[in-house]
Amino acid sequence: MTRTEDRLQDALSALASQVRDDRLRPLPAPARDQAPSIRHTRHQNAWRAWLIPAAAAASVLLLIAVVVAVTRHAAESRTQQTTSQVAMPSYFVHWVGFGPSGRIQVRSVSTGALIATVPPPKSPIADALDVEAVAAAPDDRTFYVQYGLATPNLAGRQIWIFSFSLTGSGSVTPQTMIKGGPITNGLPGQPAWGNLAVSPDGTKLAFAANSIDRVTALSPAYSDKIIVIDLLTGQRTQWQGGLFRTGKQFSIPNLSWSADGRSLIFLGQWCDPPGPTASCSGGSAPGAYRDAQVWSLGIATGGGSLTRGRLLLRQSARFPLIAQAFGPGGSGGSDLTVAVLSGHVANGNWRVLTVEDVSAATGTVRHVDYGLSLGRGQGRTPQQVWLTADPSGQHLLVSYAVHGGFTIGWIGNGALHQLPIRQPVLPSNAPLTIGW
Amino acid sequence: MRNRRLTLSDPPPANQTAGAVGTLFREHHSELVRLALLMVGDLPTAEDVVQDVYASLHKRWSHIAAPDEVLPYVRAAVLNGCRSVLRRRGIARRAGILHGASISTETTSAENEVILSEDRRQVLAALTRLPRRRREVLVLRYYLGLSEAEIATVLGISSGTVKSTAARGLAALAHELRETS
Repeated sequence: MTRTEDRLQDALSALASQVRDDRLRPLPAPARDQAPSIRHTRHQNAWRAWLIPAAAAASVLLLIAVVVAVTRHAAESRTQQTTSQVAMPSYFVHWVGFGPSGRIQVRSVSTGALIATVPPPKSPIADALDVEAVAAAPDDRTFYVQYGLATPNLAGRQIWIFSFSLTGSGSVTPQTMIKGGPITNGLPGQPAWGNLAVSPDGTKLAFAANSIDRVTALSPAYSDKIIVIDLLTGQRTQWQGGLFRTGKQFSIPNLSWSADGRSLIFLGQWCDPPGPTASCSGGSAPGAYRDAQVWSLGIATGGGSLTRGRLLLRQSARFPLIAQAFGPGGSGGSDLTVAVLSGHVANGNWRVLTVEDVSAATGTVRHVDYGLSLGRGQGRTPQQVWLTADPSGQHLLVSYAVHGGFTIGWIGNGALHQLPIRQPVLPSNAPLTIGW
Repeated sequence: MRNRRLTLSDPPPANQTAGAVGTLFREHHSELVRLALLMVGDLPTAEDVVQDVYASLHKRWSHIAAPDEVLPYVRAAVLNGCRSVLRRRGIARRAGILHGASISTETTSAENEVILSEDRRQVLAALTRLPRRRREVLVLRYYLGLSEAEIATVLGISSGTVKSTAARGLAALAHELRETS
């Protein structure tokens, strides 16, 4: 063997050794209803007619691309390290169907292919549980499901949180309740959607819960609270109150973790009460009161008032409606990524969604990651366009209501990469329950 | 995958499909991911390629020929998947919406930095500059250790072409690395 062959063999083996069997993503479970085959026929010889020139053209393009990539790589590798070290999640989970017949599904981010369908929890009250939110842990294999339970004999609403894992063979483990048991906190009405967030180290779970505190006969408003659960011990820490405005409803439509896991970034919204239990995330009447602020809340504060956090960003003419806010991430490694709605049409519908990297220190926009037109006519409500961040905060999954259903995709390189699946519209204009 | 038509005159029963595909991938999953990694340069994409092939194989299982032809078919499918990825990357780069993602660049970690020494990086960089077929032949020969006949089956070319392509590939590689081997 020549020296070149030796060096080549050594280099290939070294690169291949990066693949470790125990870290490989499990392959999807075979779907039983898949058609076994589509017969090949002679007419497929026609492929060869254009395949050879196409392959030749691709080779030329590939060669050019590789040369460009290699020359660019040296300059870019250092700058990309801060934002590309965390791989994009391989899977997302979403709730498909309605009521007891609905199921949680795990799908491939790259293809949209169904990996596994998750059986409901083995509980006598499983049929009474409504899925409110789902989230993925940083290991890309463990998932959490937040259920709501409203029964006539309960004064409020209970929150039940279960977890399950994707195994190496592509199947899922049974759902098991996390430590600490159910949480009796919420209202019997609508859930707080999209709130579940796993810390970057996977040891804590944060969510916003409805609270009936400060509700009076004259003011149907209520105020959300934030709860953090230590997944190892089941211990809960809670932040509540301090941001209440008399006669107004206060909601926390979404929250996420900072990259170091030391604080939570949450969006607070105030609005005229749209109903006794609805949140501020939905549409509102023309001229209705609406305000939004993004706050950072240090976990080390150990609970207490929400005002123990720090105000990062206010609603303004530049940010007509802050629909969602996330911790560090985005292409510029900024402090905040915010989803901003602009171009109010009517009745709480908006025409344009932009995803922007914002400096928390100055409130200036560093970069617009993506812009989405929501239709020139009626536009969309905030609930019809929903973003979900992964635990790193660097990757955003988008579910977007279109005619006849939801499309799902992820934002990257200034584009929406749609997945080849579509989910039917949900009742009450509810957002898609989705997480990754 | 469409340019390879390994047909089966007597297909296996449909209920054997899942088990046979599953067994094949259990035995060769990591090998196939490594092969894809050597072609596309980053692990998540390599896993995607193999996953797509796995899903596709479920639909096409019944017209794959005898068992000894299955593995070459799957390897060919993985290589085709890699070509598609590289083609899409080329288009994206020309459009200015994708940067990086050449071999060994996106899976950086402290561990990998040690594994991939400067010498190995040079070799891999030189390999990426070779024409696609030469690169594929060299990877199949010097990573998987396939014979010329086996490579010919996977790539759908003659053994003679494999031999000459490998020789030219090695010569080009030696030239790139300024060796006199």
